[in-house]
Amino acid sequence: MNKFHPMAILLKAEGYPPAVIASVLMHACLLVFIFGRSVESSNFVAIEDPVIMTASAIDINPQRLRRLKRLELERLADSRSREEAEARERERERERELQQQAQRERDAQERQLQEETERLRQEDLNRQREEAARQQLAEETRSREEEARLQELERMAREQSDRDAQANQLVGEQLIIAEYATIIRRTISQNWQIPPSARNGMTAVVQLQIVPTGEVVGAIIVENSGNSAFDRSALQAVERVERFPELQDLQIGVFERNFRTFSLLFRPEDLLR
Amino acid sequence: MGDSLSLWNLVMNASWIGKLVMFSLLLISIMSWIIIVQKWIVLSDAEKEVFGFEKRFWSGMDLSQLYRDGSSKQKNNTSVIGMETLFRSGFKEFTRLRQQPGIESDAVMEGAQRSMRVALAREEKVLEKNLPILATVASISVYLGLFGTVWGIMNTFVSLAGQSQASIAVVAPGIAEALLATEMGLFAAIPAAIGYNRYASKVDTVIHSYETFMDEFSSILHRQAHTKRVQE
Repeated sequence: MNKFHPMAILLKAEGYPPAVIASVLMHACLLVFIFGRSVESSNFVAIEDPVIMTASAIDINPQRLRRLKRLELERLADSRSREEAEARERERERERELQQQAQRERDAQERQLQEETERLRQEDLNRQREEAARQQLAEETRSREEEARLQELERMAREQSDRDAQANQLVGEQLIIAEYATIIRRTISQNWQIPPSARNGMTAVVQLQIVPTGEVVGAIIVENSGNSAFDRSALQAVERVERFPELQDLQIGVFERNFRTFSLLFRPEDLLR
Repeated sequence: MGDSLSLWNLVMNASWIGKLVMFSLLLISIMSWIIIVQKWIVLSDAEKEVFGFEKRFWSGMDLSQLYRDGSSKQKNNTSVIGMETLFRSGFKEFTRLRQQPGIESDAVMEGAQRSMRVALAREEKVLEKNLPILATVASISVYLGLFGTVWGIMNTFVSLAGQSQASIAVVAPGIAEALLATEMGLFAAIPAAIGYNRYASKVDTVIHSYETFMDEFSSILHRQAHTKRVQE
């Protein structure tokens, strides 16, 4: 009769302690379970861009190509001259080392001599004085060389940073170009109606003339596909766009270099895939 | 952003309001589970006590013996709960009034019933304690989660406005983070709602059996009072 309440001891605190423990434990387990495993990105189904066609912008702007080639050449020449300078530097270093070696040998001989002539006081004194003078001379030449080398290093660092800045600018411009090329590509893709006679492997290159307001002032086929309907559809796609308002935002320099004349490659493979 | 899309990163990348909402939802969930477990312990104990005490009461045992059992239990540091407290308070008042001369049996009955009603109110208070908190959690945490979600989606769209090209990769983490708030809100709300409904009906059942017992016991006391009076 007395063991009627098996849980009576819990009831003194109205059951709070076990409740708190149970609840906190449950949430801790849950959090560990949820946050412990990260959601792998490969578990997601990749949603591909519903590409209807890709009109890739190929770059046949001669000015730009020439400029890129010139930059490349400059860089090559630069690195070659730097290598030569380094080789010369190394040569000089070796010579200096040889000289020092000789000097050291000479020093050793002299020291021998000095030991021999230690008994002869006055001669010894003479020789010491001589040696001091020579040492001073060597010190002076060494410091001069050091200075020259430092200057050389400084100059090289300056050149390097110049080159880096140039490269950075180039990369930034490339990014901008890529972004706007994507916009153009997308706009034209949306306006292109591929004729039923289009076949895999057909390509047409259309050259656009664009003015800084973004308007297309001219479009000609520079490379035809052999199918006149296909060529016409490509031209129509360009004509239907008429204007790329986004191009207004471009810096005028970047625009002139890349978008004044601009080529688009039309290719129907992606559609018929 | 794409490679390390784990839930933890989502939480850490959330805005501070989002973090606040999620943190408070976590606290609310912990609190509601504390109440759920605590109520479960208290209520199942009360039900067991009702069952056990009724069995003892109707076993034909002498009532004063039953009262003495309870006293010795209290001396052993075991608390007396539920139906037994009703019985004890009623019986104590009854015997106390009966020992005093010159009190009418109706007055004795009235005193015993009054003290049993007081004990009943106390028991009800213990049983119903914390239940309103569960009801509040059940209704509030959904709104709180919704608030976090709307805030997160709003932020996502604001940041989307600054982009020149909108892609699913830009919006997806923000929206996933926002939906996390709703998910946590539902996670807190559903057990609280279930717990509240279940415990409310349990409390009703237990209190109903207390009331029934009170009536039965007072009819026994009534009989005793009047038969004694007749014998005198």
